[in-house]
Amino acid sequence: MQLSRLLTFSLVSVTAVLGIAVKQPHISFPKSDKRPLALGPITHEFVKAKKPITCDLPNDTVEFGFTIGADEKPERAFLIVGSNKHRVEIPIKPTIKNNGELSMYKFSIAIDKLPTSLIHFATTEKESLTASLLLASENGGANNVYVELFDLNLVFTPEKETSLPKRFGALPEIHHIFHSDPKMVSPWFAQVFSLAVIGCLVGLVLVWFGTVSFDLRKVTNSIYSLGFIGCLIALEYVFCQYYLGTSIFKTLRDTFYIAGPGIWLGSKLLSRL
Amino acid sequence: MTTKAHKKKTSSFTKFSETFNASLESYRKQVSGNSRLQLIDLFCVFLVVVGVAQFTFMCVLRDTFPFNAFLAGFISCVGQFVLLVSLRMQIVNSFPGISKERAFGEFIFASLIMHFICLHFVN
Amino acid sequence: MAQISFAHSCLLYASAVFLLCFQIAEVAALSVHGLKTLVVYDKRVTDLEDYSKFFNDLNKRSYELQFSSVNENVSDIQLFRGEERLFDNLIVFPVKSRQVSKGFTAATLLKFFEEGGDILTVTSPYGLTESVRTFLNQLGIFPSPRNHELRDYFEEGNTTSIHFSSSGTLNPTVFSPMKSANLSYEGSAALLDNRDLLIPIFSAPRTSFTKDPKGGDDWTVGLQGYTVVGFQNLHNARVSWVGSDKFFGNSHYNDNGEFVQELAKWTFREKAVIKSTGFKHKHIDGTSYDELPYKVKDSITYEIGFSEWNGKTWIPFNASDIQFELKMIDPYYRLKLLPVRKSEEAQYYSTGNFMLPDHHGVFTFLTEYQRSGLSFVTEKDVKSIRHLANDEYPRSWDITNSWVYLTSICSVIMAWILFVILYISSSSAMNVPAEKKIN
Repeated sequence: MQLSRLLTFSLVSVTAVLGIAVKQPHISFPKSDKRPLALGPITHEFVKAKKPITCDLPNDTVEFGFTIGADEKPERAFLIVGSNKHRVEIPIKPTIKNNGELSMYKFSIAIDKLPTSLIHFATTEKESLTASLLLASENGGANNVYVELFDLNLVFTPEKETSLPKRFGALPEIHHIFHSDPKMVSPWFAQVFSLAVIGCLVGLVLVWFGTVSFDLRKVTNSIYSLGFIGCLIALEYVFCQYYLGTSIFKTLRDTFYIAGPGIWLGSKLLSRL
Repeated sequence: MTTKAHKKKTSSFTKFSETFNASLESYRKQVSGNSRLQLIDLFCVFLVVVGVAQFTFMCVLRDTFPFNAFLAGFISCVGQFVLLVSLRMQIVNSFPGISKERAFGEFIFASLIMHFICLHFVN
Repeated sequence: MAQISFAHSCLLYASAVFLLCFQIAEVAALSVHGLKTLVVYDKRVTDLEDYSKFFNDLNKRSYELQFSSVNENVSDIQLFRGEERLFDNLIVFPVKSRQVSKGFTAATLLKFFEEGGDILTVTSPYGLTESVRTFLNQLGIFPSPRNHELRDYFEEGNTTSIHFSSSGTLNPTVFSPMKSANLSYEGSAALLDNRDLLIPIFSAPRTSFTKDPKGGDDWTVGLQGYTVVGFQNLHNARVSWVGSDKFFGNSHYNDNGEFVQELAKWTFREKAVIKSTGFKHKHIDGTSYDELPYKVKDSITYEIGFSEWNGKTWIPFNASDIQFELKMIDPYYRLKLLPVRKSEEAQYYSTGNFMLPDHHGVFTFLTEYQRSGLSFVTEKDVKSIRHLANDEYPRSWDITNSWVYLTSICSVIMAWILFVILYISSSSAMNVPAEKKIN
């Protein structure tokens, strides 16, 4: 019993130690002059690179590569780039170069080929994308690896404005913005101008009486002129009543009542003038 | 050269003042003794002053609200002015076939309509 | 005598009809629509005995199941008689043959779905008939082709089954587990279109992929693939798709049973069904629109009730994200509706008082509550908002600005009256015309 447990334990530890022999994992930047980065050995215990990789160009490319023994090639190899938070990801297939006993795997992350949703999360929402490596074979057991390799920060503003596909959900609230109420000037200011206008009227009357010669008896002596002027005043009074709220029909009726004698009186008066 | 220009300038100025004085003189002659023309002209001056006062008020406020009231007030001045000028033209030299009395009657009729419209429009 | 007996028989007949109606209502009380269900399966890939627990649960909930195998009496598989829809629900198990029958094509499936029939489709890598595939593709669900299998090399042992936790559900409205279970899945995964009507319920595990037996490209990798997907159309009919028939089998029923039943309940509209009990909008003093039509800047309030079906009866529906919109082409208002009062059947929500915009026109009072997994509710009312009548504006004496203009008009009128008096009383000049003539 003890022995068998010991055996299994040693077996497990041996496979864990052996694992899959991924050699020279590294990240390179073929489109810029940034220096390539070497990563630690890739096992189950691989710890994600502490510093995120930053891309400052919309057409940047990040390459991840490693070499592996030709006889150890996994059945499935993917570099998966995506947002952990939003569960959106895209798998990237490697290009494999066989060089004798070694196979060189190269995954190329072309930023401009990433889906717009990922670009949106990374740029507009300032979220880090995560690149994970999946190496798996049927019955691979401990040789199967799924680890997060590094974070990817996109620090550029995308050329086109990005947006996410439409989903149901609450939309931002909208409140109607009313036109502001018209400003009212303070009453005293309006009164000053009104008084100025009234002053003009008084001035006019004074000047009229002061300079122009006329004979008011001409009016008071003639019944026609008195009646005519009475009609005019009455008409203006009807108009003022209309302004104060009398209906147009009553106004028209009153106007016609007054206009009749007014026209008669007026014609009499004017013919004598 | 300069003197010449100066001379020319002064001559044009004197010419202008001469013309101005002449027209002022003729205006006085026309108006003196005709109290109706005096009445009309003074009324016209009053209307101009009131119109300018309203326009100034609007400019000081830098706001046309209430625009209909402004239009009504301003048009009452301008319209009355126009009607007065037409009356004056006909008094000075009556149009063929239209007597001065008829012109005055028409003036009253038109003024009444205008007052009604202004009161209607001022709201 | 004959008349009396005739009346008597009429009465009997009426009471029988009434009783019948009552019974139907009793039976139908489980789902908001009927329970008549057709199960289509293929004897070559499905032994119904293996799914007895699943069907027993449906039977217990009084579903009327009719089983039709595609191997015999194919012409019996008819969804419609003329224009009449014969079933309320349809369950399609994997079908191996390419075609089923003339009454069971992608077009009839779509018609069935559009006319309010609910469909639960179960496919497997070895049973995906063309009509079902075309139908699913129309909805934006793209199951992997024949013989492609969802695999995960990180699963313990040499197995084609996949395990994922039931707590990883992507839509808690459709399913939220009582206690987390480890679901066993064996079959295919689907790619999804980017549509808001699609309701992803479970995605494939991160380390999984869909393997082409001929060595071609993988159909899905990781979270790209989905194992359980729902779809609800705008008439609130529902479709769900599961890419594994063993998922429903008796052997996994201990683990999968809860989810499978919840999925069936959701698909056949026993749950996540809501409705509006009607809306009302009025002036804040309680006057209705009919009594006093709205004008600009009127203060009004809008109220709407929501009910949810709990499997037996309608109960109040609670949500905090219902919104009301006042629209004329563009929304002028989009307000959150807040709960105000509750009745036995419904929860009422209100906008509170708000002021109508200062634009006149024909406005739509709209509550459109569309959430993934819940049935869609749209309540719409088109009403006009009039502008101010000409006697509803403030009068000029109320506006200080217009005092000056008002004074001017009055001055002009007074001056004019005086002018007329003076004009009449003054003498006209005689000398002017003569002078004019000289000039």
